[in-house]
Amino acid sequence: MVRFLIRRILGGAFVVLVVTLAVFVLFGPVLTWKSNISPARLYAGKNPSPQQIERVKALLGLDQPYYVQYANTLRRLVTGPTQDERDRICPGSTAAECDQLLGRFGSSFAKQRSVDSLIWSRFPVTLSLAIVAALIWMLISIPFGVLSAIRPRSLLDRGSTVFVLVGQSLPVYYIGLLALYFLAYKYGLFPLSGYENFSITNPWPWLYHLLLPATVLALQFAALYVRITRSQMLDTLNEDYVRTARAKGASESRVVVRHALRNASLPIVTMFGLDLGLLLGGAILIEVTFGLQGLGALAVEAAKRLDVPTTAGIVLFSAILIVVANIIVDVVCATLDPRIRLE
Amino acid sequence: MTMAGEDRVYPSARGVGSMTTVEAFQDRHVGMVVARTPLQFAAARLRHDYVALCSLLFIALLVVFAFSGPLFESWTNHPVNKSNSSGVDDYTLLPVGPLGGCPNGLASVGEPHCFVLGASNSLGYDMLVQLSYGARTSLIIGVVATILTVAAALLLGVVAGYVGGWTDTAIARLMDIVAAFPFLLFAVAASVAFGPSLWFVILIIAFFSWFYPGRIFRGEVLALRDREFVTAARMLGASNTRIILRHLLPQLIGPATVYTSLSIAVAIAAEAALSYLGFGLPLEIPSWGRMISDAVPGGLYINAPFLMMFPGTLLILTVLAFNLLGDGLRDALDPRGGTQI
Repeated sequence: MVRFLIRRILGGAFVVLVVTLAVFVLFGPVLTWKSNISPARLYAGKNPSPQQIERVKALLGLDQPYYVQYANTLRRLVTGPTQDERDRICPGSTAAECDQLLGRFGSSFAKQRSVDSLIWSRFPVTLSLAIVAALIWMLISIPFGVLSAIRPRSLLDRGSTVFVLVGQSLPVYYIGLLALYFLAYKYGLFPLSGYENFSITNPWPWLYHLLLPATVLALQFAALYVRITRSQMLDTLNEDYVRTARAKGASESRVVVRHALRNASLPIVTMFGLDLGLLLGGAILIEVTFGLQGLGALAVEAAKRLDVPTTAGIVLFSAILIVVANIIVDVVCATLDPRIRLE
Repeated sequence: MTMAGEDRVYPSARGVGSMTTVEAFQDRHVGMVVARTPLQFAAARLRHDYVALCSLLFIALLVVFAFSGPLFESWTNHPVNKSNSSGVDDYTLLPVGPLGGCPNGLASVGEPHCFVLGASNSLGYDMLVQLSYGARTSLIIGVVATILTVAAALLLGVVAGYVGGWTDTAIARLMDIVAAFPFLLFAVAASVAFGPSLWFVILIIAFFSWFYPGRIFRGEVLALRDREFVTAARMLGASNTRIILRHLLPQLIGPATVYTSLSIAVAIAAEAALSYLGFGLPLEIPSWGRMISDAVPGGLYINAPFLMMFPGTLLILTVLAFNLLGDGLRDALDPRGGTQI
């Protein structure tokens, strides 16, 4: 198990390394070459003089060759900003003040803040959206998938096949706009936009503001998961141990839930971990459509303002998030199914 | 990106009729025994799949619609990407009347400066013209990105499956990595660096879609590699190139056709999503995704929901048509579906 874990972590670290390299090349050489924009010019503000640009270059370390810049970026990502960088970027301020300005992902061009603090202020919104959406799609897809596997070719099964085909073709943002128009504007069932912070004493306002965006986000995934649950259930229902359980006189609900569904759930958990990336992608569209101030909305905002460090920081942050989630899923699966470890 | 139609367990649950191949064949050729190629079998099955036929018809109509852009321009006298001040409200620039600014409804179409489907956004564009050029954009991006996607998937999938060893491991890991990352976030970031252009959109879509058909082709080749006909060819002295080109690739025509249709749907949806966010295509190229997002600022769609409903519905129907066609092709080309027509 320890060897398995080490292998997975090393693999994940390699992927993050590749992504950092890709992001660095994209926002360093490619940006300068394709769009004729140099990051120093963006940082220096409107109509900078050549001297100002040179000063900014020295300040941000952009006057060094690309490989030195990349090594610096990597080191800052792993260990945080060094004392030298702190002295350069925020001279004469305390460590706490400086942390607001400079972090592992650098500092934003558009706002006088570190990218880290921007990301952490927006992340709870995206996380809440993802959690509520995941709950909704599991609540839709598992019962429908199980029921249509128990009764193949029934009306319900045919209905869910149609739902799967249509559901995957729907653009979430357009469905979101339609939902806003009909449910929020015409009938006033949901708020038109906005987000409330989560509180344990009264979680309802939080849920109320997230319900509509999360449901729209969940629809697309629910379609996919109905299909997976159904095919997994069809496979396990034909297994010998299900027949044995029936022969022993176990009730039908016990056979379906305890014997079949439990064994069918492993691939569903794996898929769930792999789909986290897709969820983040969908969250961008949903956040923009519903006016939620999450990570996706921040990425779009930053990209429109050419705020390079913020855009790069969000890409790296989500890459790390996805890699970590995949390692966790792998470990969970290896604990549940010893065969995976030996692979 | 995922494609529709994953892991189908039995060939079809929609109305394909209960006739077997033999019955339907006898229906047409009473008392005759005629040899038929697999392609003829597939065509026979497709002919009875009404959902796939309807999708095909819709796609054909869409192609005609996309090519009619210049015709609509001269018909309505509204050039593409041009603001038209007549027939719109002076303050909001929204079309007057439910569907447009024609004083006598559709009867007065043909008179110059009459809106057909209303303005496309607060800029006062003619919606019919914009929709038609948007269809052209969607189809071009869908087809070109799909050609690149399927070509890359065939190349890497076949190489991975046939060569095996560490080449296979490297390509398979690459597929996993590309699959794990969100297309939209990376495309938004990359569009900052590359700037808006048609080729950027096509290439970024292909880059994030090739892994899915690639995995399928790799699996097929892995299964085919050790079959007798490959061993026989090798024993007769065929080179690896010849085995791949003459013996393996023909076996992949079926799945390649299916994934061509499915990835056109994926590419069209991806372009629309990227344009909706305001990235990718330059402003002078009309796009359905941008038409939807143009209907949003200031709650415009609340006063005029038609502004988003026309491009939105057309987008859904187009993506659905390519998905359903791909699904129908899968059923038709699958030799295991041989008992059903």
